[in-house]
Amino acid sequence: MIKIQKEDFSVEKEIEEMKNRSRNIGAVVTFLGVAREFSRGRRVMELEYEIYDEMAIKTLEEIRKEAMEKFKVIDIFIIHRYGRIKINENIILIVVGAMHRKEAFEACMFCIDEIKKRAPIWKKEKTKNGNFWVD
Amino acid sequence: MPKIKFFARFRERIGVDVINLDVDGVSLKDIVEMIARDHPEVKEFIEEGFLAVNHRIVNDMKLIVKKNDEIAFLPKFSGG
Repeated sequence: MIKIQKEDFSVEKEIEEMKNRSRNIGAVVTFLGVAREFSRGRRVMELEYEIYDEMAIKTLEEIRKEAMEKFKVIDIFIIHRYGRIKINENIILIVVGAMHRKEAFEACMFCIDEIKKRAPIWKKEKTKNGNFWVD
Repeated sequence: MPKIKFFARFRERIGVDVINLDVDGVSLKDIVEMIARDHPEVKEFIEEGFLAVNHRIVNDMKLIVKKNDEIAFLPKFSGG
């Protein structure tokens, strides 16, 4: 399941959903990316994410499939928000359901690393001294 | 006609998000040259980021663009 959305998500609800995907799930690993106040020595007031939707959905789906095949996990959910995101708010959630913890951790790490490298998503940091695209 | 999209820092720098060009069967290099007449900064975009055709990153500037293709100028990514 891949979602690109403006609104926040519930980590608990997604974990429950993953547990319900299969009776063989023995491990659920999540990565939650959160908006941080200090970045590169600057105090950030707010973030804004821009996403090339059509390409990002394809890329995230490819990453998800690659991870499922490579690590033999049961399912993976990826949710990325766009638009304005306040400090401490959720940005991205990856939920991996697997039989065992090792492959769940590995698949989760693979997904976030590949998303950072390959997904057409951009972050803008808004500070008192101006707004800066991070790239 | 091919649709050319600009994102994030590039969109702000060029001041538009989409350009439609009335061409068919020309190379990606030709497209860049055509846009550069009004927006010379696109040549810098090629150096600084990526070009995608139909949602795939491409490096071959000789690639022929067809009339329904979607081209995108993408700055380096910062998602996650």
